[in-house]
Amino acid sequence: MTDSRNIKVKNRLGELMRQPGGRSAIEALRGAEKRLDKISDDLLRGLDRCIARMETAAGQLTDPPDDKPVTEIYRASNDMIAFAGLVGFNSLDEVAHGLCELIDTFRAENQWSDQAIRVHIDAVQLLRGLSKDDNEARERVLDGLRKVWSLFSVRQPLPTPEAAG
Amino acid sequence: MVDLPYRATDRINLSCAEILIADSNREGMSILTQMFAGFGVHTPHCCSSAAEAMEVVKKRDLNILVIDTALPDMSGYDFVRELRRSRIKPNCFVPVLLMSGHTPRSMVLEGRDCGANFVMAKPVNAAVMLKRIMWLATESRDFITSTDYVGPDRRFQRLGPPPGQNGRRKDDLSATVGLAKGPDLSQSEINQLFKPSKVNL
Repeated sequence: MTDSRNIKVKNRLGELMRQPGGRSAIEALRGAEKRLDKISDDLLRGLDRCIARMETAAGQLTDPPDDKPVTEIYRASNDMIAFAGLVGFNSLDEVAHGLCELIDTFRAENQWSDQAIRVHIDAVQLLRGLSKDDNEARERVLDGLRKVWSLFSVRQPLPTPEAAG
Repeated sequence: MVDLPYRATDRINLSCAEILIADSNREGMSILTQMFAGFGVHTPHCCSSAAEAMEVVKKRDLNILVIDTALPDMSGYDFVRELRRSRIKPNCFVPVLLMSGHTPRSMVLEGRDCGANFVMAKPVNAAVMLKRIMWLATESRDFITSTDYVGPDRRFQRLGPPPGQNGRRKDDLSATVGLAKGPDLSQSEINQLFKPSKVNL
């Protein structure tokens, strides 16, 4: 038996939130959503910065791999996941998840294919430029990537929840 | 509309809340600050590194920490471990939400085991964040301190130790049921224990 101790902790957050005043839950939610709408242009610019980081790092990929560009691609993908879906690019979210999983798989199983990484970055560029209504082209790109994930036994990212994006 | 664990008319007051957000990504930070501003938080403490965040922890009494797992100078997991063992009261007990874009199972388990209250997968929309804050506000889990772990109790259900293993805590009961002591109870005595209500058949 390890020497563990249980401590009762006062929930200060709960006490604070129950103070008189404030706003209703629905007002809070609407307030947040309104503010998020206002920064959507900044987020789109951020998305393009992530893609640019990926492209630059992809130019430095080698075989056998150098960890620096691979880590940068992983970080840019991870950053992209944070907001691509919030600005309607759910497909980019799916590709970024797949790319992170692929890099994790390569690292864990000592495999490598710079082509498999590059095809994801090409797909990201393509999906960013597609019209939001072009579901058919988007599905074709994603289907191609799903084959790559399958080839390297990568855990498939969850499909995008909405058709658009 | 997202299913919320509260009524839309329930009031929340975060105007005096001291929230710390640590995220090195500009857009990630922007999303969280705008979201919390919409919830009524006046001035969140925004930090782009673990070192900056720890400085705030030393100076302010915080109510929520939102920490990205990929901080430039230290992982979010290590930051939470350091915070939990820091003995800086009351902040060492503060609710911590860990956030990550890529969330494989190993990272989620590490998040739980470093002492975070919850791990959230990005992207997080406003409804999900509000839901999680409401949950934190009603949390009543004990805080555990041991040589291996410091943080909120990781047991959400009281299921006892795994079969065949001895419990690690003093109040863990054995999974083996011992021999009966005393006479069997009559049905009326059993009924008294369960207090069955009348049923019309």
